[in-house]
Amino acid sequence: MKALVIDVSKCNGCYNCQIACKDEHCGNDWMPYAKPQPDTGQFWLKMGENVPPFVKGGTLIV
Amino acid sequence: MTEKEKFRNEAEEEKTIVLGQGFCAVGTDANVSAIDVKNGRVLRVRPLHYDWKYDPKEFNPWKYEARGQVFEPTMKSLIPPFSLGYKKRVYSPNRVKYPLKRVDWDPNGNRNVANRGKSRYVRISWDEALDLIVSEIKRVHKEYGPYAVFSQSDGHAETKVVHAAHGCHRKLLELLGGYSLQTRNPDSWEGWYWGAKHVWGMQPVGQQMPQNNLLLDVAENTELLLYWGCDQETTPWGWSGQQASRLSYWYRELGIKGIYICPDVNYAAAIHADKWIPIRPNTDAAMHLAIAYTWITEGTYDKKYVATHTFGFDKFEEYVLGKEDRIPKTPEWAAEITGVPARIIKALAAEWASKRTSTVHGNGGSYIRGPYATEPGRLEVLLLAMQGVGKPGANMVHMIEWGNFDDPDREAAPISVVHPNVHHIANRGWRLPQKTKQVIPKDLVHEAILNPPITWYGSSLAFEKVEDQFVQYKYPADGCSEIHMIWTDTPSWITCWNNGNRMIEAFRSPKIEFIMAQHPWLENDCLFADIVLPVSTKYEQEDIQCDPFSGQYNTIWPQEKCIDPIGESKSDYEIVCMIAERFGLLEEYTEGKSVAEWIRVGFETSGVQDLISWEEIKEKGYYVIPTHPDWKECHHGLIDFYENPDNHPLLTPSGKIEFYSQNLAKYFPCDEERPPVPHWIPYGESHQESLLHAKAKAYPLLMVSNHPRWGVHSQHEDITWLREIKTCKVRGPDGYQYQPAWIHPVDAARRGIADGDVVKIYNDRGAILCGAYVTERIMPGSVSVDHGSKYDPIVPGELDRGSATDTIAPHKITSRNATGMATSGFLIEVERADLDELMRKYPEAFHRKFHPDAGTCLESFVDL
Repeated sequence: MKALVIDVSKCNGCYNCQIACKDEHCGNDWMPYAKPQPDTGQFWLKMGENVPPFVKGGTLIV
Repeated sequence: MTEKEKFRNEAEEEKTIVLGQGFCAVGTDANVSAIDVKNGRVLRVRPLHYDWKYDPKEFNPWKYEARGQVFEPTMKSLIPPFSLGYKKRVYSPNRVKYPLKRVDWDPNGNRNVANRGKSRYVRISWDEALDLIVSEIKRVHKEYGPYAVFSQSDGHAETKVVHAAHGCHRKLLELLGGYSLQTRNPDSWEGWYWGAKHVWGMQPVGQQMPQNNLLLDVAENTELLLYWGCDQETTPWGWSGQQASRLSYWYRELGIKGIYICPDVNYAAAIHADKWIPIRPNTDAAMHLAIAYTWITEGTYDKKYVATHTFGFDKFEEYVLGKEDRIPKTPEWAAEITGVPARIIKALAAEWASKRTSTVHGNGGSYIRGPYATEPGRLEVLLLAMQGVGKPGANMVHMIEWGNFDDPDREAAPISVVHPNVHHIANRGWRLPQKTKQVIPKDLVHEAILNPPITWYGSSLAFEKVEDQFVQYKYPADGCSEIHMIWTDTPSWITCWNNGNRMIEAFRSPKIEFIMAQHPWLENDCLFADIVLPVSTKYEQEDIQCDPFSGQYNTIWPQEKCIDPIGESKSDYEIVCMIAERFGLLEEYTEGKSVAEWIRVGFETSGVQDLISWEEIKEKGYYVIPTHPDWKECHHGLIDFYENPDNHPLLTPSGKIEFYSQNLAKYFPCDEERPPVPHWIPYGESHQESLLHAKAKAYPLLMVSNHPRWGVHSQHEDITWLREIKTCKVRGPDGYQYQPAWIHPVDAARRGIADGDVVKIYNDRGAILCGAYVTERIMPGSVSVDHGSKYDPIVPGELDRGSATDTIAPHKITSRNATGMATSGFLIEVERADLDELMRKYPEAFHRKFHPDAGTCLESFVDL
């Protein structure tokens, strides 16, 4: 069992955490601890994009 | 043996190799990493922990203390995602594994040059490839002379020294009697190099120098940061890693306000901005002028500084107030042009005048790479001058390339006891500017091939002094032939330079009888070569490197080989050695030294040779250069000029900041596209890429083409772990991954475009397909597509499936006498693509094989 501890207030969206996980587990067989991870598709970092207030605010001319 | 014991035994075979993963290509590396290998295979990539083999006391840790808070570097390197995932690039299905020949290129018969970009490739042996190359060089020399051979040996790539990705062939061509050189224009600094340099003479590229201790200066003194066209969460990644991200967070914690001025909520704005001011692409000059107008009319600029530190303010004032053209440059005037409301411009002007303000840059982007980029490049410096640039807290601050150009004055973080340089002697390829008898600026190559003779000003090499911009060059040069053969290494001209489609036309010119390319991956310009040679990646080579860019600790390391070369690949240096040997010039070419000996030369001339022994650095694998004990004594930025301009003159004719450039007035008195006082120039003789021009009726949107978030220019396009990120690629209904085109919901709705649709972006230079990314992160009227996407021609020179924006970027140089390029801020239209119709019309292109998660690959263009 492994865990990544992420301070979301410092997240800049670089996906390094997910890529490090893939780097460790895609193509590497760590049985009996972990089976190889599929190369793509296991996209566990669910980072959403919320439009901040200043975008919808007065500075934007439509 | 139990399973557990077996695993443990295997784990014991792991080995860690220190390796740099910066992607500038020229000389000095970055992103120092630790590569774990086992059984001849790369297991994983990790940041390097500086304290892995050293006690931190040995390298004198530093810290910033400001406003009651502390900032320290981390104990590990801050590598970006494409360095972390680089294993996928090394093992990419796109690797060139053996020499290739274009199937219908017959040097003794029909060369079928018009089929470049269309015809496929077949495998040939190294012997056959080398025979063909040697015989072609001899033939070209005999028929046209040595200057008919054109060296394209610049641009971005893996950063290597002895096995340099660029230019290894230059020395051999010198030994063979000479060659013509492609001189790389300062592609991420255009507006500063061709503009700002005439205002304040800053060497080498027009941005503020020195940068010393400015990161601390901001923390201590700055109240307002203007991130103008800056995305420090993107552009620094390939050079300096992610320290800029940490600093940006810290500055906010210190209460320093950050305003982002750009058409898009770029990646830095998305997480750091206190305010975003969306501005229409390439209209920044108008806003600059309106800010100047506000300050002049309200008397809120530093009049004393202007009187003592600058030259020619009266002429600038005349233009700003409308005395020259009867158009006062009011905020209301600028609002119409920029799309920024007048009240916002006034508020920004007031805030800038009342607070200690620095501008921040990460190079590139729409701001500095558009048509007439000289004008915003110059005007920003003039605004800085009007508020006393150089005083504490008021500078132009770099968030990228700290330590670039081998210049410790460019280090904005604490300097180390030695600024390392491993390449100035040991580099076997790229070397400091050495002009050959005949040169062609990179952004004029297509024009030179298709429409000779041509003339221009400035060699365009980044290191040139400003005086070179007044020298007229011509092609063909006296006594030289036109070019007839191109020798190119790790090229990506068509996806990274101006009007790639026109370059494709040049590549297919009958004049160009032979193109040979060296490349680790079969991509971009390689598709137009007649011979492609397989190059190993740095994981497959021994070398020496250093990282003075990180903003953390400067490091140096001798690099071991991680894995054996993939397929039959060899390093660029090894390839040129083989060709030199066939000319009987191997000894002269290598100067009698082996690769190991050149690596040792790199160490012995690095500057650290007296700080650590060769034996110890080999044993430990790296060395962290101690922070200079007196780093705080380095004067902050331009403080010396601020305090005493007469004793610290700038490199301008007056020694001061020139609102009116005496050099431009002297050398180009009639140039309306770059007059002595910077102007707002929406369009003119060279470019008509403005919403104010009639051309906007057909192409009503403006293209923002930033440096890419998920790669360095055209690199890293096949890293599958990046391509599944939504802002990296959008998968179309055909299963193909397209470059996202950011389009505002209003513009999308008007065109019936939904998020995820495949769209066609076009203008009079051609069309590209992209994946619609409908978002309010881009302002209405603009579309943003990162440049550098992997070229995949549907119709070469006309229509690209690979979303390479530069193929449709403007053709002409920055302006009449400014030999830069314009690759952003140009007119386009967008429509929903009819994929079914395209597939019917171009079955061959749409049936071309591609890797579902890596895009085009070797199999796409080679009969395996």
